[in-house]
Amino acid sequence: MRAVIRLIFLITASLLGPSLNVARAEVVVVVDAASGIERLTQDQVINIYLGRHRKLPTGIAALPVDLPPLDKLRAEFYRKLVDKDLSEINAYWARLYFSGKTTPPMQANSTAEVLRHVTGKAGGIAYLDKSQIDPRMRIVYSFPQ
Amino acid sequence: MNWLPRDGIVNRSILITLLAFLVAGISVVTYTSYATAQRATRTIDTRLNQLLDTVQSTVKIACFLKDEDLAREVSAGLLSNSEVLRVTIIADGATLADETRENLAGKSLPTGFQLNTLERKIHSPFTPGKIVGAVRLEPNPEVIAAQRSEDIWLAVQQLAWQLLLVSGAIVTALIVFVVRPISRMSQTLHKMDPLTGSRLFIPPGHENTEIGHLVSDVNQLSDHLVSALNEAREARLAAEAASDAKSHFLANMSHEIRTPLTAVQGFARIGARDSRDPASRETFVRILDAGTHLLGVINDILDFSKIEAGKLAIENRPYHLSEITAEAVSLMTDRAHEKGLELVHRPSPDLPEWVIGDAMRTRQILVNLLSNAIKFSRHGTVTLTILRMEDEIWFAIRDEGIGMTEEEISRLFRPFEQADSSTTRKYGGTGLGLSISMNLASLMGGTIQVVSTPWHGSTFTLQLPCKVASLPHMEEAEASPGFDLHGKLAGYHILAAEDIEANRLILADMLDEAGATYVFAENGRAALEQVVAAPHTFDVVLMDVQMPEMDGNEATRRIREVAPTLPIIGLTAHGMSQDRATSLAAGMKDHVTKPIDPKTLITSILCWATPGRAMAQSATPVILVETPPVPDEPAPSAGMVDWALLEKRFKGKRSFIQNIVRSTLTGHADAAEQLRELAAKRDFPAIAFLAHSLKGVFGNLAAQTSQDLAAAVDLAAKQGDESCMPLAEQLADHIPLLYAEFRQYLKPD
Repeated sequence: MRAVIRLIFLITASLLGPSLNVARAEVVVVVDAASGIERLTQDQVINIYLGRHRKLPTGIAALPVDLPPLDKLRAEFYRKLVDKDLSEINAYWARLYFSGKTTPPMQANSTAEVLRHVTGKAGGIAYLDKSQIDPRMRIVYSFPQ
Repeated sequence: MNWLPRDGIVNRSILITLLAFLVAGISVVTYTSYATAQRATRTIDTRLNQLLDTVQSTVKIACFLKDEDLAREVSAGLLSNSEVLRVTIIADGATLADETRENLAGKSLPTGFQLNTLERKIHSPFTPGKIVGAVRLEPNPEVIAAQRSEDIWLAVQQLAWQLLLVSGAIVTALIVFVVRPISRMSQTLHKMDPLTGSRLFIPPGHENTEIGHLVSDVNQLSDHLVSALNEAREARLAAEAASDAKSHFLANMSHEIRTPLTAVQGFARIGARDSRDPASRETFVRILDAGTHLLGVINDILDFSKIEAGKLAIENRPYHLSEITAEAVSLMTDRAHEKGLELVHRPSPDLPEWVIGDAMRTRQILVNLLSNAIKFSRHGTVTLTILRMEDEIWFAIRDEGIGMTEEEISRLFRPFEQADSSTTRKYGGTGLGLSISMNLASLMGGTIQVVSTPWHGSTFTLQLPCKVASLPHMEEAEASPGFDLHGKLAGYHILAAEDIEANRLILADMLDEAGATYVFAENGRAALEQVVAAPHTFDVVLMDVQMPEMDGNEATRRIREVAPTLPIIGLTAHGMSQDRATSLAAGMKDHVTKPIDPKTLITSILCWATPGRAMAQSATPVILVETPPVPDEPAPSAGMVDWALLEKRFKGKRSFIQNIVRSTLTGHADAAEQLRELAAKRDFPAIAFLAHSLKGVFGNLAAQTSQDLAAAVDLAAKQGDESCMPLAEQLADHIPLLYAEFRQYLKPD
């Protein structure tokens, strides 16, 4: 009986797997562990990612990086950060493309590239799923649950 | 309403409409100005908000990013809207952009308007509720000013169109409905005959308008007016007819009274003259006096009615002043003496000898005033003082009689009024004398003043304008009194037409005394027949006017056709001046009023007729040509004038004869030249006229030869005979010799 219940659970889980995975995924903002930054506020994250103020509290220029455009985590990040769709975010940057001085965050082609960016550069800052975090990185902001 | 144009309803209406529109224009412009400004203020606020809404997302980004470039771009975009004057974008206390419109035209808002600057807080595009900056938009007042001018211009344009349409409509309506009907009415009224009137037609469509009512009222008024005018005319005609009837009645009455009176007077005069018995003579004299008095009363009434009818004509001829006053005094002397009064004539020495005026009327006034003075005095003296007062002559008649109070004086000159009605009973009289005298005086340009103290006497002063006559005229001289009739008409052959036997007898008596020969006719027809039978027999015709069969005027006209040069003198009992005019128009030379005053009649005959006319006329011109005695004897002192006869004729008044001679010399100075001229032109009528008058003049001056010659010329000219020309030449040669003798006579010996 326990085996039957476990089987049903597994089947259900496999069926609902992806969604459950997302639901379970937790976006966090990370920096290089050696950067000396402990925490960032949501405003600070917004300022850095949307170009208003790209300096870390330590005074180093912040270099934000975006996940590839189709990455689900990217949409989730912006949703959680400023409650906007990616199309809205894209429109925002598109407007600034011709007249503004501010540029969008660097565009990474893969998660691996994000990882390299955040660990390899001073001031690098990225958002990742909590599961992808390793000790080279430090979580400076996590969205409230 | 003086400021309105003087002519035309239309002009006035246009002016009023224009003024109304001016007032409307001013209020509309004022209102539009404020309304537009207020509306524009609201509009611009909305507009600015809309503009801000449009750019809000970009502004949010600019503020969020503190991006000055983006902010400037937005500002520029906003400034491209004319409503925006200035854009300020602020982020976190720093000014990102502050752009102001350039090229301001400098138009300003009407005073009292304040435009609000729009300021809006800018929220972060990503964090709701977080303010990242602000935008300030200042509105552009020029937009409002422009809007305002546009609105005002539009309103004024609308108003102008309305003005054009409304005044056009008013003018058209006025012309069609008011002006044209009224001016048509006015034209009709203007052409209207006031006697028959004429009806105005109500213009079509105006039956129930004010114009229609006006036309009806005017028609009614016109009817009333016409009937009133006709009534007035009828009344006037009736009054005139009545007045005419009165005049006729008076004339007839006076004729009816005068005719028998003429007989009474005439016979009384004959009786007084021929009576051997003093008692009978006294009786005749009394009849004569009573008749004279009655005649005076009739004359008074006649005069008064003439004055009332305005038909009394005043003569303006020279007369001898002192003779007239002396005559008036002498006429009244007997009466004064009868009452035991003394009558004193006191003329001032500086009086002119001859004055121009109406001798008869002046004497009439004086006699009237003197007779009043005598009538109302019981004792003392009546004085006639004559003074020259600058350009007037004053005749002051003072008595010591009963006198009058002021109140009595004030009623004095009213007709039929005496100082007291008891006076009439006591003193008699018609009460017309003073009224007539006053009227005569004012007709002569003078007046009568009265000063009186009751019971002490009165002074009546006749004041007449003094016109001094330079030279007495011959006629006046002849008419002057103191004239002895005896033998005056010697040599005259007279035809007298008179239907009443008594009058014929009196006339015969007078003519006998004057030494004339005469023939009587009993009416106009008989007289005409006598003249036709022998046209050159008579020197003069005396013609009674009122006769049976053919009256004097008709007979005169007929006789003039037969014998145009035969002078005719009318005799009539009619004293009215229009009768005189009728007689003169018929061809009479003069007009003597009955009862005939011998002196007047003889003066008239002497004036108009020449004795021996018959003889001169019957002498044929041929004989005169054959025996031209004058040109062959050019002796100036040959005695062409019978001076002895002349002096006898004028009772030795040498100065008087000299006057006649002088007036002849001046009056016919160029007679000889005229004769030659007319003879050269063969102007027979003019020669006849001149010769005829010369004949009379020479006859008067007892120049027999000259008179005969002139008569021959006259006759030949009238007959159109060729012998006229040599005769005229003869006369022309003769005249200077005659004049030389005249001048000789004038020389002081």
